[in-house]
Order: sequence, then structure tokens, then C-alpha cells
Amino acid sequence: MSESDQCPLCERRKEQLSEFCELHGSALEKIESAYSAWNKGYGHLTKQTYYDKLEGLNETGRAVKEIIQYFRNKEKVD
Amino acid sequence: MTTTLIVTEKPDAALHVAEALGGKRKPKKISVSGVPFFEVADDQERILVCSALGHLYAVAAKGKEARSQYPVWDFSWQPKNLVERGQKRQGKWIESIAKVSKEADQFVNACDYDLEGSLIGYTVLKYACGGADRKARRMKFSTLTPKELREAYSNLSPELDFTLAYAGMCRHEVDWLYGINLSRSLTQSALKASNRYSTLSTGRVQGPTLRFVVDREREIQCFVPNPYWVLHTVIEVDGKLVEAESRIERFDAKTDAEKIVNECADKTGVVEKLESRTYRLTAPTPFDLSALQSEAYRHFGFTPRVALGLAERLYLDQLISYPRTSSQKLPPSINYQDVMKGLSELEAYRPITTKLLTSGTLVPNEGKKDDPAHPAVYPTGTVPKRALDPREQKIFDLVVKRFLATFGETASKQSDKATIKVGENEFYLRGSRILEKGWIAFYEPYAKFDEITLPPLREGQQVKISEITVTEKYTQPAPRYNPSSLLRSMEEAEIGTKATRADIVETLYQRGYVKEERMQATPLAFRITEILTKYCPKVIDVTFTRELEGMMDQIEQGKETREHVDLATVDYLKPILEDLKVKESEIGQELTATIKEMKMAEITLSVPCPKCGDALVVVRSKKTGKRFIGCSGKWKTNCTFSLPVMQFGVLTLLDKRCPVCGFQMVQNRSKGRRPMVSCSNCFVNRMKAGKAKAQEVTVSQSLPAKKQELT
Repeated sequence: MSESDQCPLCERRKEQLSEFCELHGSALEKIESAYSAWNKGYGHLTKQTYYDKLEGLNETGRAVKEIIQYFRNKEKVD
Repeated sequence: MTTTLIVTEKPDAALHVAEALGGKRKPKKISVSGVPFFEVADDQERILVCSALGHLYAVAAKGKEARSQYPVWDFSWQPKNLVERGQKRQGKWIESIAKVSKEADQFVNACDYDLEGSLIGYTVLKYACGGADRKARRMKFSTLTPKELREAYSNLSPELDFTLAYAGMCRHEVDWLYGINLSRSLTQSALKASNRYSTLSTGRVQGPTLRFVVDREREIQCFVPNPYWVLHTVIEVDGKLVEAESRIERFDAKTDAEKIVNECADKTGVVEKLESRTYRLTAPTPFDLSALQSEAYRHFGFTPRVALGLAERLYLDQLISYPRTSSQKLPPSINYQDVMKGLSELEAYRPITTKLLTSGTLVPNEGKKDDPAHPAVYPTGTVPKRALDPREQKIFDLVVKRFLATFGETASKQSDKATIKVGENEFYLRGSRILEKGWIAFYEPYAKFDEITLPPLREGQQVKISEITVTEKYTQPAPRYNPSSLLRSMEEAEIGTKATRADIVETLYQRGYVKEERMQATPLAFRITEILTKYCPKVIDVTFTRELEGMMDQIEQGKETREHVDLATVDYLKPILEDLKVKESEIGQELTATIKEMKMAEITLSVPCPKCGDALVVVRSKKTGKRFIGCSGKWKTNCTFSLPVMQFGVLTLLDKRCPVCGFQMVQNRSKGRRPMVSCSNCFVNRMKAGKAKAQEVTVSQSLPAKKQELT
């Protein structure tokens, strides 16, 4: 498997038309779909605060935390 | 005079059978090449009782092909000592049974009456006793008590239960075809890609079972919690503070919860309604094996395999009935009164048995599940002849109390609810109490109900909101499986048998697919499941495995043949294996990285070396062969930090930290023992403290002598 086929967060193969493997792709989907519930819950919540809160919780899944960390690192590089 | 050879499953059972059939005559123990036989004889019949050691024969590949070869389709039943390592004893057993069988003209299979027992006896009679299976008879019993054994011997079935034995054979053959081929395919793929050997396995039941754990782990790893808010409310009633529930249990928006706090804080409410309901709590049903395993895990933390092992020991000691049962029924033929009278000899149960024996008719609260071969697990009424070890005692107590509880009267519980209105907002005060203990009194401490008493209240009474706050909470991911809940899921999915499920759960640990008590799937488990899903999804599909189980059940009922199911399995597996062979290198590459990563993770501690900060790893000394925790900085900084670890069993580094010193904890799992969790750092500290104490003692003891010397 070439590097471009590999998920940037693990050694799995990327899903077609996705930046990530199935596991991390699924985690990303869940992060995106849960945002509206968080936003409604707090009245207003920036994405940044949303990620901070998720990262700090024990309940948050490992793959979810890896995705958040990945985007944070990417932002720094960009 | 006729000579009858009776084959039992285990040596203890052989002795009990001989003692029962001998009556007042003590059986004579004969040793044939170190293998015990028990002889009882009268004028007409000489009975020889021998035992197997579980399975003496196993399925193996025909011919002498390499162990790495796959696919393999030709198999036969062969003596276990010839095909499996460490089974020398079995060879001696087969030889001795074969020798003694020549003296016999009648044969009886008295192995446990179930699939495995029927198969064990059948293979011994067929292969070791020169085809005696054709003329052998079957002895069926559920307890090893003398009375039942004598009855079983005088009511022998005219022939063996062939359909049960064939169903058992087929199960072993199908599992072998799956296991040997798929496991060899995985192992060889990894070996060829990495040049390093790792035992990788999967199987007909193991694959779908592992998938349960992996699917759950995936769910947990991708879990995004959602916030919600709850109210914490305390109401003052006549000076007494009582916690209340809000009508709205949870709020999805924080402001909604805060609105209620603002409306109710420091306000007075009115008791609007008082309600009481009475519930009936029917007695529990008798134990089938999975319920026993589940309760043993819940109350004592015993894994299903440990619980089964302990229950089997109690069965061999004549204390309980055969534990591998699916039945929740207790037929009157077991004689409830006799069992209870027997238990009355034990002081701990006497108050209960006395109460039950004097209460009139005894009717157990039976469950729906039935097993044609055995009743539910029950105590035989025999008093232990030896001191039971603490773990055996716990299982014995649980079985006895459960049995007695099933005869108990229905218990009743009262639930009280007071509705408090504060403006438009509603709160509830809840209480509960047991009105009639009924069966609960017999099943203590295993049945527990918390009682909450509400203070006296009347409708219209004014009460004060003493405290009301908002608490933020988060939704929780699904819990990880534990050995007991995984076993329950296997049972619900109808995969595996009551005899094999516990072993399969244990294998997942041994292969490094899961770790920790709350079963956490490892990266290797993910990888194996992903590969199987990608290349042969049906292999880990529960539906397909269940279909196969159905076909094997039909053999038991005489509606299907073993040969047909074997052929169907080969036809099904052949194209899969051919495809896997072609993709060997691709699969190997996918496995290699994970195996390497796993192997490193398996031996690398998450805590750094306290001396130099480098990584700590579990290594083996080249000199002594002993394993220990060493610092990987040894070659860079010459750090000599080391800690001891236990030398036996499979060592797993846990995610847990020691509550005393914060060092990483390790777990040792070895066959037949409870997993042991320990902290190497604390062990060393305790040793040092012990030594220092010992030195102190030596010094203080030698001081007076020195004093004397000086004076």
C-alpha cells in the first residue's frame, strides 16, 4: 500500500473518496453530526470550543480524539 | 459369567460408578500400566469400570503433510497423543483400555449424557475397543449419586445414542475444517510476509464472537458524547431532607433546565398526589448453565470458564447435578423432599429447608428452557465429604440457595410516589419497601433490594424546595463486553454450545485479540476481523454460523447426516481458501505492520523508566531465560533499572495504574487460575521493606548478645 492510500491516522487503507480509513471516517462523521446537538445544548458553541470539550471528556472515543488532534496539527501546519 | 466394561468420562466418575454398582462391596482397584480400573463382581457379572480423560481421540489431517500446509480436506479420527502435543498420558490410557476390553463381552458408555460425553464414549468404544460401539449400551444419569447410578444401570438404553455422537463428531469435524484452514492461512500469510512466526487463529464460532467485541470497540472508539442536563433537587418535608426527581428527567438544552431552577428555587410546593403500587416479585427460575455462569460472574467475579470448572468439580463430588444443561426445569423425579432433607444436615440451610419442608406442597418456579438430557442444576442433597475450597464453597452456596429460592413464595414490594407541584413544574419523591420477603429470604445475599422510606406525607401538604441545581452530564458509550456478557451474546446469537462457549472466550485472550476484564479489542483483533470481512465475510457472519448450528442440530434429531454437513462445509470453504491462497502476500502485508506494532506494544510499558526516562520493556534474560522489566536505555545510557515480573502464564500490560505508586499494572492469565493483577514496583518496595524489617530484627536480636559480650 502506497503512502497516499494510507489513512493519515493509522496503517489502514483509506476509504474511496475519503481522506481517512473506515474507522476514522466514521469518527469524523459522528463529530460532524453531533455538533448541532451540542450547539443547541449550550445555546451557542464555536467549533473550537466544541472540539476542546470533546477532547477533555473521558467518554469521547479514541478515534474521535485522533481526528480532532489531526485537524489541530493540520491547522498549525497550514 | 459375563464381563462388562463401563467407560466413564473422568476417573472420579469411574470410582463413583463402581462404588454405586458394588453396593456394600468395595470396588477393587486394578492398575493396568498405571491406568486405574475398578472391579466389582458377583456370581453372575464382573463389572470393570474405566474412564477416559475427556477426549482420547481428535480430528486430524490424514497423512503426514507439513503443519503449515493448507487447504486440507482429508481427515480422520486419531488417538490424541499422536496428533497433539503434551498428550502422552492419553496414549497410555488408550492402550490400557484396548487391552482390558478384550476381556469384556458387554460394553456400556457411561460418559456424561450430552453431545461431548456421547462422542467421548463412542470414540473409545469404536476405536479402542475394536468396534464395540455396535453392541454397547448407554447409561444416562444427571447426578453421580449412588441411587441414580444404580437406577441408570438397571435401565440401560439398548444401544448408544448414535445421533448425538454423530452430531458431536460433525461439530468437531466442521470446526476443524474451519479452524485449521483459516488459521493456517492467516499464520502463513503473516509468516511469508514478515519471516516471523505468530500464531493467528480464527474459527467457525471464534470469528463471529471476535466480531462482537470488535464491533463494540469500534462503536466506543467512534463515540461522540452528547451533553444533557439534569436537575438535582432536594425537598424539605417536616425538617427532613429528601431527594426528588424532576418530571423531566433530562434536558437537551442547558437554558431549559436553568429556567426551571429559576422558577423553583426557594419556592414552596404542594403535595398534589400520593400513590402506592404493589408489585409481585416471582421466585427465580432454576439455574441452567449460562444463568449459573452469569450469577457467578456478577457476585464473585468468576469467569464463565472458572465457574464451569468449579461446578464440574462439585458434580464429580456428587454435590450437584450435571452443570452443562440448558434446562430451567426441576422434575419431581429428582425428589425435592429428599434433596432438602439432605441439605438439612448443613446448619446454614436448615432454617430454609425446615420452612419449606413444613410448608406443604413443593412446586418450583420453572423457566421455559428445557434440555432433553438433563434437568436444571440442583444440589443432590449430599453433604460435602471434604472441606470445599473457598471458591467451590461459593458456587455450592449459590446453587443450593438458588434451588431453595425457586420453591419460595412470591415476594411483594410496595412502591410509593408523591407528586409535588411547584407552579407548573412537577417533582416526584419515590420510596420502596419489601412487604413480604418470600423467596428473597432464601436467596440472600444474592438477592438484594434497596428500601427507601418516605417521610409521612398527606395530599395538600406544603413542602419547601431546599436545593435545586443543574448538573451537566454526557451520554455514555455502550459498555465493553465482559466474559459473562459476551457469553450471553453468543447464546442469544445461538452460536457455539454450552460446553464450548467459555473456552472460546478464553481463546480470545490467549491469542492477544482482547485484553482486560472489560474486553478491549486489540489492533490485531481489528485487523483479523477486517481481513476476514474483506476476503471472506461469511466466515464471521453470525447468520451463516447459526445455519450450520441448525444443520448440526438436525443430525442430533436424525434428520441430517454428518457426511452431508461435512461435504457442504468443504464445498463452502474450498473457493474461500483458494482465494485466500492467491491473496496470501496481500493479506500478509496487511497483517505484518499490526503484528509488529502489537508485539512492541505488548512488551512496552506506558510509564517511563524512573531512573533515566527511557522506555521500559518486558524482556527475557539470555542467561537465565527469566523475564523481567528492563530499561531500553541500557545500551544508550547504561541504565540498569529493572523490576521482576511473574514467570508463569500470559503476561499482559494493563492500561491501569497502581493506586499506591502509579506504576503500570500487569496481569497474569494462566489456565485454570484467576487472572492476577499486580504492580511490580510495589512488589519490590514490599520486598525491600520486608528485608529492612528482617535486618532490623536481626540487628536488635543480636544486640543483647553483643552487650553481653562487651560486659
